[in-house]
Amino acid sequence: MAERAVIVDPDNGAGTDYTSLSAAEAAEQTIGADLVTDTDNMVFNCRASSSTDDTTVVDFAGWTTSSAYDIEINGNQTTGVWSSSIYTLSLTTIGVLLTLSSQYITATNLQLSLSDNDWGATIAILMSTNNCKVISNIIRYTGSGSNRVGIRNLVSSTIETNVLYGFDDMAILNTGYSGSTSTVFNNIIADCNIGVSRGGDQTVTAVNNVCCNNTDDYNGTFSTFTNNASDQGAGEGTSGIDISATWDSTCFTDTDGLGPDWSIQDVDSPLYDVGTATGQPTTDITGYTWVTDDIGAFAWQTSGGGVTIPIMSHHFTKNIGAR
Amino acid sequence: MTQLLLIAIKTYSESVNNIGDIVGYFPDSWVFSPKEIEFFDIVKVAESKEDIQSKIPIIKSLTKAATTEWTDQEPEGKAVWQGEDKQYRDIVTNPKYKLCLDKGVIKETYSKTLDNTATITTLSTLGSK
Repeated sequence: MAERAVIVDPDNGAGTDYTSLSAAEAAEQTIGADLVTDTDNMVFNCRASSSTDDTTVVDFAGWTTSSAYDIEINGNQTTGVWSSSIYTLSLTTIGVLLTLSSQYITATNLQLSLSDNDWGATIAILMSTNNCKVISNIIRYTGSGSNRVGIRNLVSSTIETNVLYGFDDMAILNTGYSGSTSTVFNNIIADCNIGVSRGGDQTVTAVNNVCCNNTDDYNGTFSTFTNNASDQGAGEGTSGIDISATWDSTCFTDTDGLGPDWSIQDVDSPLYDVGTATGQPTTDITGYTWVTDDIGAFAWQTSGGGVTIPIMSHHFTKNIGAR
Repeated sequence: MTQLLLIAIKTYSESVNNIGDIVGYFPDSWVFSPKEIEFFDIVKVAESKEDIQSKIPIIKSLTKAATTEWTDQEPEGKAVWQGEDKQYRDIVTNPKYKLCLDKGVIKETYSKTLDNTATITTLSTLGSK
């Protein structure tokens, strides 16, 4: 078993293997597309040494993979806040930016940007084959076109700890076939027409998500729908969290003008420790291990270490009861 | 000028791609890596990035109601592509690369698969955009 790792860098800095992800995918497939027979894991490490975007669309099709011999596409975002200086897969016209057409692919820590002003179906990530994961990515639409979708999921998949915003249509659209099973955990979705949608016949579990400033936060019938936040009325589903009155500048900042920051600023945040640990991802969008059961893509990170008095007080109230 | 990165003999894979498929298009100033130069054909064309993008067919999801009566059945859906003649055709096989360079001309790749050439009848309003 070997790890085949390549560096994708649109700026062609030292050590670069390919200047676009599409070139890396096509060439590495020729070197060995059957990862199971070769007992290999394929890793695409993406960076932008001088901040140039990767503007090619990519379709990961034609690979033979398994749970043991899989593909990772790793970006270099670590903050959960949009940055113009890191690797970004970008599409300025209609189309599908990243298609996962082979099984067992994980796309993580990427920035994906759609920005066209055109007409026609356009999707940031299309999940068309089972067992793929989309984890800890920032996905946005900043154009003025129509029918823009962040993640369109047609199959059994995992969608966790992502931040999606600006989609005039749907941020996460699940339209899989009967028998497919997907989990949608701890995502933050804002400024879209619909946040999380479940159509088709698939089984979708939606837990610990945060939706705000969308026309409709959650649409469709979910098999499990718990601890999701909404700013529309009194919360939705089992243990729904109403953030209509508490959604304020403490949990939505854009101090540098580059992109919104939905990280948990303090223990008074409406997202702090109101989720469930059942099925919670191991780490948040920044790679930080969850201490409390926070909802959304960000874990509350104690800066000084140890347990502070406000946290102790909160835990006492939550777990033992107010006195 | 635009540089096209094309599938070549070294990156050809039967049933996945075809020689001449456009993997990406890049500014004239783009500097490719040694591996890219080894694995792909790189061709300069006069078309701009926008010219090339305009050749990608429009893709749509269409639906057809099973009945005009009220029902709980989902409408039948299919994906279609629109050719230069504005006709919508079935997408039976989705090409991995949407464009190719064929005898010096940039073309869509949907029609290279015979499965994708059947036109479908749509409401006349569909063709207006």
